[in-house]
Amino acid sequence: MMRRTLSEHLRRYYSGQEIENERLDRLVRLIDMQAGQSEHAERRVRTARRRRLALRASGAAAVAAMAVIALLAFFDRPDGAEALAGAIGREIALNHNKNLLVEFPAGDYDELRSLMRKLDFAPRRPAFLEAGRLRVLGGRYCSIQGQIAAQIKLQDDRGEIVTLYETSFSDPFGELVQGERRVGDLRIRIWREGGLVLGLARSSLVEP
Amino acid sequence: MREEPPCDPELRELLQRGYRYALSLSHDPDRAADLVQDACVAVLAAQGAWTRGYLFAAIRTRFIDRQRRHRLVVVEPIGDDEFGLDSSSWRDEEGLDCDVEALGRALDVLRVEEREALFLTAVEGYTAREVAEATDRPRGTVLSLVHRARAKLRRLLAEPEAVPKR
Repeated sequence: MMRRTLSEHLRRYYSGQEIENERLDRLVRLIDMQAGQSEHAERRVRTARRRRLALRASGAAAVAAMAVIALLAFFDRPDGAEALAGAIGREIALNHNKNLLVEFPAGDYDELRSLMRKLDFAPRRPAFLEAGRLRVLGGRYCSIQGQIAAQIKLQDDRGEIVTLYETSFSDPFGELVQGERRVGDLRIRIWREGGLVLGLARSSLVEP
Repeated sequence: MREEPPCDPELRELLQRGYRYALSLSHDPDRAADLVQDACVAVLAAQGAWTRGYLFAAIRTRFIDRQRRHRLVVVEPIGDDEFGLDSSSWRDEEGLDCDVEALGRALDVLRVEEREALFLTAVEGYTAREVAEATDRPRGTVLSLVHRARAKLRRLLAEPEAVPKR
């Protein structure tokens, strides 16, 4: 034992206390990702502003198009299954646009499975997504139609944030119409796979 | 204007310092790591500054919120007779022998505010006035806390049998 002042002992004690490497890595990743995402969001706001200006220039055409869409919507009202898919699509779009921070930073689906223990299913990579095509950033709990769900944040190689929603398939989803729809500026794809209901939301400005 | 986080090594060092501060508050590694994570999320959400002061304040706020939620805050009045102290009363005196484990156990015996004040002064190099500002306490109270914490630690380290085993 070395004879030191109390302050020296305290500095030595605290310098030996470190956050675990794995947890520190996750935290750094979370911070980098969220900071980068804010930048991306700012870029999107600038792009949206330019688009709004362009839209104003073609105002008359837009009004006419809206009238046509409204008429089509009136004559093509959705049935129950369509309404359900529409409601889920809007819920997913709302969640996507909230752009909430992830609660569980993770690098892959295995890590997410180990972290999101409250789920009654295991989050997984959808079959149509090639491994590594969309990088996993993390997840958070959310709900779809009142049922616990995982919101998984993904990022493509252009930096675009895509959100994937997964929840257990159960009775309320029985007549779900699968397919892709547009909600505002978003493209929402909803489908069933391996006992789960999945939804994928991404900006319609970006091609898949 | 949004604050950019520092580059990787600096950010890691800042987070480790935040963790040690959180540890001085909670004296529990898991809770300390949770506090740091929650504080980082708060800094991101507020687009706050990635500085020691801002991160420590965010950690402290989260710690107090949790304590309140679990009704763990113990308020002990500090007697007026202790306000006559000045900074010289808690400067290092002669050296002492102790091992890291014994010091860890002795720190566990201190009250949260004593451990926090001791950490900020001895480890982070804050002055009594800076601790007072950061913790929203009168400077005299800070001096008293540090003095008392040092006296307790010295006593506990001199009599290891008085320190409860974990």
